[in-house]
Amino acid sequence: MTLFEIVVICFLQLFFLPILVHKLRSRTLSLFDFIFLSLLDVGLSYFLIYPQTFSYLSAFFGIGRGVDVFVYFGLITLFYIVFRIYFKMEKMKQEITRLNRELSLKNVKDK
Amino acid sequence: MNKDNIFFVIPAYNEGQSIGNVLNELHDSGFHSIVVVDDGSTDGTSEAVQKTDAILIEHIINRGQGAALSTGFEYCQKVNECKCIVTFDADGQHRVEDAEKMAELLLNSDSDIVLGSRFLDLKNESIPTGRKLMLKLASYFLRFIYGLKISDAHNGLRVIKKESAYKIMPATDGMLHASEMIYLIKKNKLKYMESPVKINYSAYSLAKGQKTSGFAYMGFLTIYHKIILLLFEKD
Repeated sequence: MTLFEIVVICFLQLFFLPILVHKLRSRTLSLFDFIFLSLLDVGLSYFLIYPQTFSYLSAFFGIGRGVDVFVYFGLITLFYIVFRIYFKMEKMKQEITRLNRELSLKNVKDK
Repeated sequence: MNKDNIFFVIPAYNEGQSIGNVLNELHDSGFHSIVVVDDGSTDGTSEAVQKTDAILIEHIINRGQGAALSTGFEYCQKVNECKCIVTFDADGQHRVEDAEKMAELLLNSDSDIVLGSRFLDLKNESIPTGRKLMLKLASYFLRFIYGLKISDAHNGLRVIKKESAYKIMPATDGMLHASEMIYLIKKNKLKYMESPVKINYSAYSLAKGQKTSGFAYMGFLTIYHKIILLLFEKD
């Protein structure tokens, strides 16, 4: 294992994972997001320790090279994250509109 | 027909130049129940409205025409005298006599909504050719997407019975609300009619109105809206 890999694993396990736990405890992260991000964290560390797993996975999925599996899963993950952010943003926009509406209706002066 | 029971909902965003004339025209025609939703204008639209006897609702920030209409609908729901709601443009494109005729038509029928159409009987020679083509295409497109047969997509002049207004209250804030309303008419199985209207195109209204590129963008948004409905809509 290279020094870079050790640094990344240490960052993921000693810095990133405790942040997730803290956010879950302070209820700023949903349980689903916590599970998803923890699995990502642990999975990334696992693949750094056992990079040959990619080769097994690529053979299993019938994808040419091990690194391609990483790229494909990376794309799927990114797509999922963008999707979630988009829907959260839409929800937030709707809430802003509702708030705006309630405030304006409260301040209306009938003639 | 008691004109005080007909509520005009006028969404306005930076319409300070034209809103005063529109409100005066409505007032002179005997309509006194006018709700103007100022959608966060910065050009003195509110001040122009305050000089008249119209009811002013001010959005703190700009949220789009759909959001402004919904605010107006919500206000009207709480007013007992309101029998029907007219959605009317603030840029002086719509004629009061068309709105009056449509309101009369609605109140004397069992329909829930009367939609204005530029492409029925009346000759609208003032419609620029490019816009006419775009509007025709948009109508066919909406018919294909939502399955509702209408001759004029995105005509802002509509008259809706008060009890039906909640059913077609758009959830989308921007210009997509026009497509969404068509979809909601179909979804809620509302009875609708079309009535010929004439649009007064002026340099001002054309500059403020939808551009050709805007139609393409709307088409894209409508397809997106349909996909979202297919994926997430609960029957």
